[in-house]
Amino acid sequence: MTRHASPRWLVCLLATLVAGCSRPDAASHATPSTAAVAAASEPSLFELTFPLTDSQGRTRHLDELRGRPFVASMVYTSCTSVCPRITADLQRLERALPADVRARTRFVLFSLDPERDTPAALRAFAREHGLDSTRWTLLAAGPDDMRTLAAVLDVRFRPDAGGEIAHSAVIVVAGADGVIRHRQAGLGTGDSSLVAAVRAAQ
Amino acid sequence: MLRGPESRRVLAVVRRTAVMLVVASRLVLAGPVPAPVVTSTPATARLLIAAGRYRPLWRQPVPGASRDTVRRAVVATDVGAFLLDQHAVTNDDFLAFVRTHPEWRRSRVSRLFADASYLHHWRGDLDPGPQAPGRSPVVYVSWFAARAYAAAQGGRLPSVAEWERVAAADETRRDATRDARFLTRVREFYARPAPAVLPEVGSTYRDVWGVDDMHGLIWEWTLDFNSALVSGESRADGSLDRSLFCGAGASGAADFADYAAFMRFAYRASLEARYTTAQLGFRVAYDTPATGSARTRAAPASTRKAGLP
Repeated sequence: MTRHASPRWLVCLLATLVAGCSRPDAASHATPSTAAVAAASEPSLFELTFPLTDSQGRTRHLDELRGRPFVASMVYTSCTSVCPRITADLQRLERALPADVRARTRFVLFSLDPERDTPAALRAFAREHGLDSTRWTLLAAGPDDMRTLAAVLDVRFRPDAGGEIAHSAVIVVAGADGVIRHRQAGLGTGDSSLVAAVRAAQ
Repeated sequence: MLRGPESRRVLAVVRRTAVMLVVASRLVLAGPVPAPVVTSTPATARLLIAAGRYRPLWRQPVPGASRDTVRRAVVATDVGAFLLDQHAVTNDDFLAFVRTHPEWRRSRVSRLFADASYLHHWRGDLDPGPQAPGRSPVVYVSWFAARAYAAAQGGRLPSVAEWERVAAADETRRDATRDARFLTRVREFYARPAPAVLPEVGSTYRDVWGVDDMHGLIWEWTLDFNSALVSGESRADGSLDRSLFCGAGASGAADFADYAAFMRFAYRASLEARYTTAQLGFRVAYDTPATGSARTRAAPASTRKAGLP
């Protein structure tokens, strides 16, 4: 098989798929790696009403984040590859923000691993990475709700046989109303657009 | 023919995955084939799919020869027994659902959970109309909507492994994926333009499990459709691409033959959970009860239809 091999049936399939799609708002989610998301008439993450558990074992809800912009991602604490780099990217963003913006911005990590990410595991992760508890919140939902959250944030994930969870690195910036204003897929794609997005979300 | 950012994305996913993929999806099956067991429900029959194994398209890390080495291999996964609806959810079924779940009506659904073409072909909130006949599969539904429907029936969406396990079967065999004629029939479905109005469920073929229309009618959502870690944007999932098989030199005719399974893999990778399209519907799966149901009965083989479209 070569790169240019493209059977006719495949092309026909794609034509069928695409022709069958009538999606006026396609541009908003068929995004390049980094994209500003239109604010007007966009839905809010606060529509997600399921309970989550924080690192202190308290039951929390997403709409408690209302009132301040936040930056969020999905990780799991036993991860040794991508997650520490996502966390490092977020911490670099935290440092890059002007002090007044930083003071108003929350950082939220959602767990991809509801079974193992107990409050104690979340606490240990926060301690290990030196996450400032005045700004950072670590939350774990139940398995079904975690799946919903990953779908909303378009985080792709697949548990491996060995206990690892392969997943895509996604960072979202949401406004005080819970509307996603910016979504970045991929690691280390530069701070400037994220900083700008956080400032714009204030 | 291909237009817009979405089409470019689909195409990019397909291209990249096509180049990488040399391992066809295969099922490892064992044991004799018992008659499928059916639980009758008002809407559709729930068919028992026996436990088996599924060989996914991707490789994953496994321990190597020494402690510090990791190699990548296709790891067959066990698929436990489950129940699957005989046919896809129909417009009638979905109408009943939105009657009792108004938050899933077209005019009320949140854009968080469905894009703007949700139930696009229905005439009204509670009126499917001529483009959506009652016995035809419902399409233009998002993953969220499909999942909510399944939950309301006490079920769930089938996993990719579960769906593929059933999709490998033809009328007489649990695994027909090494039969070129079967694969050709599946590919022909992929190549055929969708009719403006979809035919009824049960109008294509019934497989050895007693399940209708796994190929030939629509595409179907799976619970973990978003487990395909490949993207049209190489930057996005760079570290994950390593999980996929990239040894293109090993490709052979037998691998190419199961291109259809790979197409489904690429198609799922192109989806987001709130997408809705003209050919994408779903069917419901259920966990098996811990003990066998007394209401089960054998599927009537005499009602089976022969031949794919």
